[in-house]
Amino acid sequence: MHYAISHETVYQYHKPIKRCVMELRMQPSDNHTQAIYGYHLDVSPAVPLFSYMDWLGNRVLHFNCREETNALRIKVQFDAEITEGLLDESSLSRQSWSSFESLKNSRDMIDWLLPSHYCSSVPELVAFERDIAGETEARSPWHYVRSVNQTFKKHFTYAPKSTNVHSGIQEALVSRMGVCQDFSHIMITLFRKKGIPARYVSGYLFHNQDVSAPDASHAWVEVYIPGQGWVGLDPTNDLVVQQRHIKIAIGRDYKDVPPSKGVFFGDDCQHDLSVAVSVQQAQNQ
Amino acid sequence: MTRASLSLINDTPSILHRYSFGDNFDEMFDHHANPRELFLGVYQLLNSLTKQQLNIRQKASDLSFLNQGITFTVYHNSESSEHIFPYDLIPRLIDAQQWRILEAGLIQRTLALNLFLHDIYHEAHILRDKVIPVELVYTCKHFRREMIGINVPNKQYITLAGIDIIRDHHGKWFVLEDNLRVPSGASYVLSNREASQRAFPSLFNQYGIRSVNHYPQLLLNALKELAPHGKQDPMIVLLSPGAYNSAYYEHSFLGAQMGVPIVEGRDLIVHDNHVFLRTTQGLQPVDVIYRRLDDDFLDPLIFQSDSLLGVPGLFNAFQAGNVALANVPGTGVADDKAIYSFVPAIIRYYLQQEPLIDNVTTYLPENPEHLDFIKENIDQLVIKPVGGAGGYGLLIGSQASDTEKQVCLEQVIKNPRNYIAQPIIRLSTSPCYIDSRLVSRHVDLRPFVVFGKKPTVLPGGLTRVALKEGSLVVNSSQGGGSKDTWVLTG
Repeated sequence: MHYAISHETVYQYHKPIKRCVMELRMQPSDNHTQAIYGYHLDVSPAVPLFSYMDWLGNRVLHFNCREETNALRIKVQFDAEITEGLLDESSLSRQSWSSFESLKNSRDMIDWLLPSHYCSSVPELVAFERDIAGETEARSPWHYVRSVNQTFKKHFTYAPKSTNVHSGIQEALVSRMGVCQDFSHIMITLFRKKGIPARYVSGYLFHNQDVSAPDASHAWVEVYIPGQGWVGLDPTNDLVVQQRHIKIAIGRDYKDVPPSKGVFFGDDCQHDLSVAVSVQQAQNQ
Repeated sequence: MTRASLSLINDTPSILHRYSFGDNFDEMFDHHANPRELFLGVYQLLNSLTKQQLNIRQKASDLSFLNQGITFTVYHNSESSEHIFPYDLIPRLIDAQQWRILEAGLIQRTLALNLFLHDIYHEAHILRDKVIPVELVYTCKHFRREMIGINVPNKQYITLAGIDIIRDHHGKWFVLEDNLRVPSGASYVLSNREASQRAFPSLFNQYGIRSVNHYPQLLLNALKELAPHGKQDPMIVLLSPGAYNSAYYEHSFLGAQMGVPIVEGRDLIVHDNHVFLRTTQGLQPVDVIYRRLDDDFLDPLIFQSDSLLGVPGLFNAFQAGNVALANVPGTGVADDKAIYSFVPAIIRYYLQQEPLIDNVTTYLPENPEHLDFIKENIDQLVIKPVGGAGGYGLLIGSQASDTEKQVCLEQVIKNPRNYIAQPIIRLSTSPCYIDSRLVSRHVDLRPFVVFGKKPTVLPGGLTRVALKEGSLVVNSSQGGGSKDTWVLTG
């Protein structure tokens, strides 16, 4: 499937800032499941951009601005062509719990199994795990993963602004309200507790009657199934990721992959942040 | 238990009269209470001096430390206070042969730890070969994932190491811990030398003592070698957390001695991925930063985001190779106290050599057998937090109350990765002149390894003294003092 994506971020400062230093994780990787065309990133005020690949393999763009300014605009545009992944559910469900046992001794897997900043167990998580035990009783790890992915629509209300980007999983677990970021963190924590490697994905969703907000960036989860590799699951919309998700960055949790972060200098750095995302289906080229 | 004490066949009781050191290993006297050959010069001098003469010398030293503002800040609960760094008059001696072994052992250790750091931030062969458990490294607080895959100039992670060594009650040397982040104390080595040379000038000349005064030059040369693109005459700065840091005296001393500006985070700015110093003449490019700031505070964009001490953008300029940092971020994983127990294995793995200086036996509570051992033998053990420094938060089983031991064990069981246990080692003692009496006190030694093109050990180091009678805690942060260390020329 072919999509045209645009993503505009605006920091509007209450008083002009004197300078800032920023990092962006807004550039998707170009690979065999996801081809990227015409990638364009504009920053205003205009500044030279620098880039590096972080330890997770994400492309990071960074810059500093020494011009006094009222606003900082970051605009990203690109086209993506997503190849539908072949999902062989019968083969996925054949993987037994024992095939996960040795993964913790592997350097490539350990970070997806250890607790991380936003994905550490809390008493409320243990309680939630108990709540859904009946629904998630599973013959295989894949069945478990699938059934947990189904519970969020039922047990949580998708409610923008009920939490913020710095919220821990406790908040959403208590109020049973949250957004894609919260649901992803909760699901990752549950999977890691069971010894299933899980990671956080930031990106975009081409919406089609989905729960999540269509004008925002999106987040979901990938799990590692031995012999099969990484499989994406979207707890917010109860989806197995196939061809509507456009992947930007991976991390242990949100903390590794914020689309933008920065340090601002000025008398008053209070600001309003607005984000506009659009994902449209495009003509095949 | 033999109780050694001295009585001298002399009319006026000398200062050495009634010096006793129990069944400890004393640096100056053998177990028959005879002075060791090495210390004969010191012995004879002390025998010839009256209390009054020694007091004059001690007072002169104290006054000189006070006038120079040689201080150290001790943190206590919520308060902190700045103290004169207590200096003991009587030098500690190490002969040339002994020193050669220590020197070789320290160099061996530093080389191996530097190779370890390069490896775990690249291919991690040592983890794939299962010499060290993956989880131990990946759960270390000071393991910086941001360093994975980054190429460091000359593969040099460690520019400066302070490695604490001790002697047990048999006089055998051990490494107690490695300090590879921002080791401090070298400035006190230089102040102690100045004081000891002034107090005992003829004794100093009579012995033939190796110089330590070239330390700032040694460090400066090592820093110069890190300059990006082999730049001649690079701009070097010392980045300090500021005047409230416990080691600020040292920062200002070393900055002045090396002739490099002492700066704080706010004095530096990153522009277009390069670091600049703000001066009255405008921005000046910076090539090498000797940072005395912990990783966490270096760059709020990458590490602790609420820290105001660092320089936003610094890490990216560093990883692009536009500025060098000494030491490199992430070295703390190699001085984690749980990783410490694997250092002998690290030496064998990378150098195919046996360690020249042994480690102290270390128990890791994450290992169920070790935990059982710790529970049963806590009276004979020291429990230490793995990421700690300065002797904060340690428990000495033999001196702790039952409640303290109970609380400590609960912590250990709850958070086994955060603790280690070691047997209580009765550190060697050295004669100290305290309150006009010569008394024995436990000591350790922190030598400094400066790693430029090749590692060099400063001959000597900081002999730290547990000033309280019987105390085994020598850390300056715990009110310990220090004395000069004389390494003989030959």
